[in-house]
Amino acid sequence: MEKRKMKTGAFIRRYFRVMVGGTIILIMIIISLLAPVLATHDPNQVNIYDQNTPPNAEHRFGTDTLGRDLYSRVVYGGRVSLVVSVLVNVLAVIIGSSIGLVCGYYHKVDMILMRLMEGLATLPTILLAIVMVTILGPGVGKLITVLVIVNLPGIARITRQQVLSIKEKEHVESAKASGASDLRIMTKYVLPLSFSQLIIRFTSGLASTCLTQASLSFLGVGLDPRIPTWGGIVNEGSPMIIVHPYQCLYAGIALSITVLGFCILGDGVRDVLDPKLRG
Amino acid sequence: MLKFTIKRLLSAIPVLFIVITLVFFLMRIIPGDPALMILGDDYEPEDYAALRESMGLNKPILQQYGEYVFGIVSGDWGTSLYNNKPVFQNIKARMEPTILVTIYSTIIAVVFAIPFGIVSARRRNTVVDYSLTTVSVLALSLPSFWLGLMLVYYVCVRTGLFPVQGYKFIADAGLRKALHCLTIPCLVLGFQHVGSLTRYTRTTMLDVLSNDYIKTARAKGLAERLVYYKHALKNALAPVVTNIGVSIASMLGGATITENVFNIPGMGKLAYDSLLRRDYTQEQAIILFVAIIFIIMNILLDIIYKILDPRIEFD
Repeated sequence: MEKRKMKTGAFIRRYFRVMVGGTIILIMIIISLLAPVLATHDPNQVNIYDQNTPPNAEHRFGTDTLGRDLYSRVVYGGRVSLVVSVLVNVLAVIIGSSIGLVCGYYHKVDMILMRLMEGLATLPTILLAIVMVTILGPGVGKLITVLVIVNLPGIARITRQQVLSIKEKEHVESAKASGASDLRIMTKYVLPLSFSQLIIRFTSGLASTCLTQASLSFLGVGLDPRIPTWGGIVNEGSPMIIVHPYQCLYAGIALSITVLGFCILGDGVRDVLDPKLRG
Repeated sequence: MLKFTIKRLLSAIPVLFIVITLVFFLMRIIPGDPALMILGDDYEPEDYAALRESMGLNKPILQQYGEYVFGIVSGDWGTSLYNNKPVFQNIKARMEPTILVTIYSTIIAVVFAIPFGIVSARRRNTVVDYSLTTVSVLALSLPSFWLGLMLVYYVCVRTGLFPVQGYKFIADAGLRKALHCLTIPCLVLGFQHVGSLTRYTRTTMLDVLSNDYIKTARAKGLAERLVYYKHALKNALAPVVTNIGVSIASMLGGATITENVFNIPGMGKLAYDSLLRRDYTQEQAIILFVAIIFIIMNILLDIIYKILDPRIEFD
């Protein structure tokens, strides 16, 4: 009995941050999924008779300059942020790790591809994202593409470093000696050993992608302005900040809680998978 | 040391070349004709032809690329499509607030973050550590544009202590006024960096503290204070300084978001405005300029790192 209790305690301590962060994100996902049920108004319903109303019984978070219900907009606003954050990081990890894997494995490819990645990493992230999004035009798919590209160099570099050290290990040597093909060695013997690093990179990337996406929406680039996003809501409220601060307040709080959840989750996952880095 | 410096400088050349190439092609994959975008819907065919000619758009792409690279190397970065001034002159005019913002917010970040990080590592797993760690996670989670707007309302508007937006150049209003305008924006930026730098200092300190020579220092009965500040901090300094340097490099490129929230006429604002005006030559120049600053900063950091920690070897 005593032993069992200790185990539970240790388990909770080990996974505490993963659970806290995960719970926050889970709540946000549920809110986004239930948005049609939770929302009290159509998030895009313009009402010129009800502009700039401070929070009241009918409009919990007030209305914006077009008279749209801010509570409903905030409830819907998380959808894009969550989907984009997760999708971008899934794609970036898959593509980035493939690049890193090939670069670490073939020296000739490394010379070209990794230099390209280095160059890309030199360009300022947010500026590069703004420029590319402006060039491509608005759209969720295009936004995801741009954010994936921005994330590639970091992931490629991590994987490449991992591959370079794993390549020297005995089990790879022996696989090579027994005649395994390069592809088989890469996918069966090298890649699995860098999984934990990639998962860490995936979860820690969620928070920054969520922030970058929101920043782009705040600057008014990347998405059709009719799609409610937290960054976009803050952007629309920003000219009114001096007279109607509530228009920016709630969307920002929702965004901050989500990023905080991603941050805590990322820290927790890192602590579990890479105890060396644990404080 | 000299050999190291020269080697490091030479290794930057291919990266620089790739950046120039990337920037050039980034601006050429724009769908449609840049000349058409500048002219808008209502234009004369002769104007169109003349503009294409002056922009060099009717030459083959490789020739355009060659001329572009040659221009960059020989110092001719082109003229702005918006105000016809040399792009570099426009950048120079926006440097002052960006440099001030960088210095001011770095000071804020360092003054708070380094002591926070050290205390956090010393009092590991105590209430002090937990509260400082929470503050730094919060600093990383609050979106700067929102935090900025909230401070505009709750500090600038409510108390009237600081101007809501804008910037006064040193030449017009003096350094004090200029810094006064930048205080709130720099607090926002600095706070963000406090978040990452505190975490980084803490991890690095803990990493160093787990070394054997720290055990030796403690075993020979050295005061705990000396162990921390003389033995540990000295070795933790190199990576921490590098981290500060990287954030300086990213801020020198202009804090696009913060400068837009507070309407500060710096590099980041210029980058954003040029994009809205479809001033591609200007945009190209800014991205390239920022990338070059970044490359130079990285070389400097490697050299500083080598001085602080001579054990390190770069390949």
